[in-house]
Amino acid sequence: MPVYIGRAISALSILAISAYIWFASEEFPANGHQLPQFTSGIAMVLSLFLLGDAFRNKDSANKINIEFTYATKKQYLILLLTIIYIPIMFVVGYFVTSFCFLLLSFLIAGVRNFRTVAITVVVSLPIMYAFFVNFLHAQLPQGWFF
Amino acid sequence: MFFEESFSYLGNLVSFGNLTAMLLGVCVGLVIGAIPGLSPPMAIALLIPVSFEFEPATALILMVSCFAAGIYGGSFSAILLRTPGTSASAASAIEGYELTKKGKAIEAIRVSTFASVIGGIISGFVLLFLSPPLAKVALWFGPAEYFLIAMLGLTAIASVSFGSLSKGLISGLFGLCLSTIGVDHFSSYPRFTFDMIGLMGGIGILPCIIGLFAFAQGLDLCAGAAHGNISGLKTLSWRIWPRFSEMYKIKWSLIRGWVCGLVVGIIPAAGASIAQWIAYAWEIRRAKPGDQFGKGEIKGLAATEGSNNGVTGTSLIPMFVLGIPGGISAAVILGALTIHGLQPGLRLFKNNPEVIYTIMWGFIGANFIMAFVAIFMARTFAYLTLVPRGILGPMIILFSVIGVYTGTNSYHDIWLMMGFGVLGYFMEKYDFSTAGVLLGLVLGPIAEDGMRNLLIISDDAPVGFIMGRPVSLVIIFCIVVIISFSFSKKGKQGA
Repeated sequence: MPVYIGRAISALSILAISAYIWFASEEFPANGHQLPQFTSGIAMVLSLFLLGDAFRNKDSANKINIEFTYATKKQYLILLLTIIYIPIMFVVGYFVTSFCFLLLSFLIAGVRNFRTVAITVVVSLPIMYAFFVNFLHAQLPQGWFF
Repeated sequence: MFFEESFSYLGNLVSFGNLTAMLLGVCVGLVIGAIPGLSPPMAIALLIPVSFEFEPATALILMVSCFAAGIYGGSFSAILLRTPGTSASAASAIEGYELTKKGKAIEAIRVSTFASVIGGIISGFVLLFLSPPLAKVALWFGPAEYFLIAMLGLTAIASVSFGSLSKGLISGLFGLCLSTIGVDHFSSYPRFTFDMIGLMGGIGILPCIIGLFAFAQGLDLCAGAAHGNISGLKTLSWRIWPRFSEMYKIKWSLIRGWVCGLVVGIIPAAGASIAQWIAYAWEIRRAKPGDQFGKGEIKGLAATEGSNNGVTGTSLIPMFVLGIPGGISAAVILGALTIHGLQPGLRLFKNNPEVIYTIMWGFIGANFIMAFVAIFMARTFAYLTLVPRGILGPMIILFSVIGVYTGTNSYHDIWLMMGFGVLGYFMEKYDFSTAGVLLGLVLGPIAEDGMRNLLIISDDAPVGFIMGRPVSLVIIFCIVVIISFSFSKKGKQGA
């Protein structure tokens, strides 16, 4: 896909969101609509500028280059892992899930020095626990295990 | 007479209890300030039960020391990892992290420490000697001025958007829109909540700042080669003490930062989060050919660091003299003041001068102690820049999740933080301004409340009302100057 089409899609998305905010805020009482309409109004004007800019600098040869290799996409795997990690942590508990999360995410990130991985996991998790729970008296997620 | 009275209480500071309180407050503030998710108000609140054992002056010295160090502590993580520990150090992340990437982390820390410590000391002396007269300035600020101050802060978006101005402004406007989410406290009407309970209270600054900066940074670090580090260095320089010649080169940036911090600090509810952006925008406005703002410009870092600690002392002035807290930290200190049986106001200066002046000297002393503690702590923190990216990235993600949960105790805020993290990651990738979103979110409530109060007190005729207020006119003049400069500068860049 050419870059200018991507820019035009972004500008149109901003325009659509701004228009939604404008119309949705019309019913807000006690002048509650003023700031949302003020900001969405300006955003609509600016998105039209972006749209115009996208077509003014139209270059069909300049294409969006998306690489589908492991090296360029591993951060999304870690994001997916985080999405799984959060609800599980509240069922299983902080220690076990965080241990697995760190271990897996280090491996996905490409760390192959297992001594470093082991030391980091074994040292950092208890320190974090002691700092938050014992020193700050904050509550960490609890589950089947502590 | 007044100066003599102030100096007569300096000796009170030299006691085991007061010195220990300063050291403890500084250490706790530095550590908690550096951790994303934990803020200075939380650190101060944590120390309140500890302070019950102390005399009122010693207890309050503990709090103000923690406050000063907490604001500075946030800069460690902002500069070294682009994960600001507090919202007051978000602007420092821009230039600070770019300097770290160039292998200049220690230089950035040196400048940050110097700017923060001297800014804090100057602010402390202003607090000590000028509290009663300056407190009257805070009373000049009504709804019109608050609205205009927020507008002045928003003009910073135009200056700090380094790529496309339109994208920078859209980011700021997006932040402003986000600030309207939640139950409207004027009408109790839910705005943009989509019937979700978690959104009723609005979008918190904490999930936003951690998501946009820390989580997004964690993802970015995971994307690169696992074995490389941020700075590209193998060893760190040991030259951690600032040199006179080094600071002399950036003297005007430091002075502008300090002045900005001192002035904004006096205004209740403005605080370090706004002062740093105004100082940064001012610094960019003064840029000379060859300056590399947005790509690791030490002058930008000096201004933001000078301003956020320049705020600390003066933000306590309205709290001590008028009982109006300048920010959340000042509100917590105000709570501690009353817990220890002291009532803020001018009578505090008349009835308990030994307590209030000892606290103020304690604040200045804490900044001196901070210089020594921070410089050694910073050296240890700087080692983080040598840690492989593959280790650092997942650790930052874990810290972001745990930090938000312990900071807000809300499961919903973890998801909100993640949403902001993904948004921040893509915004950075496509040249939108994450700083603009944060600035909009911080300034939105001040601007909206100011505007709506202004409409009420002016009987729906705000223009005439504003024109009759000299302070408002001065702020409008500043806004016009900054906007015209930003557009002419962008126009020249475009040409």
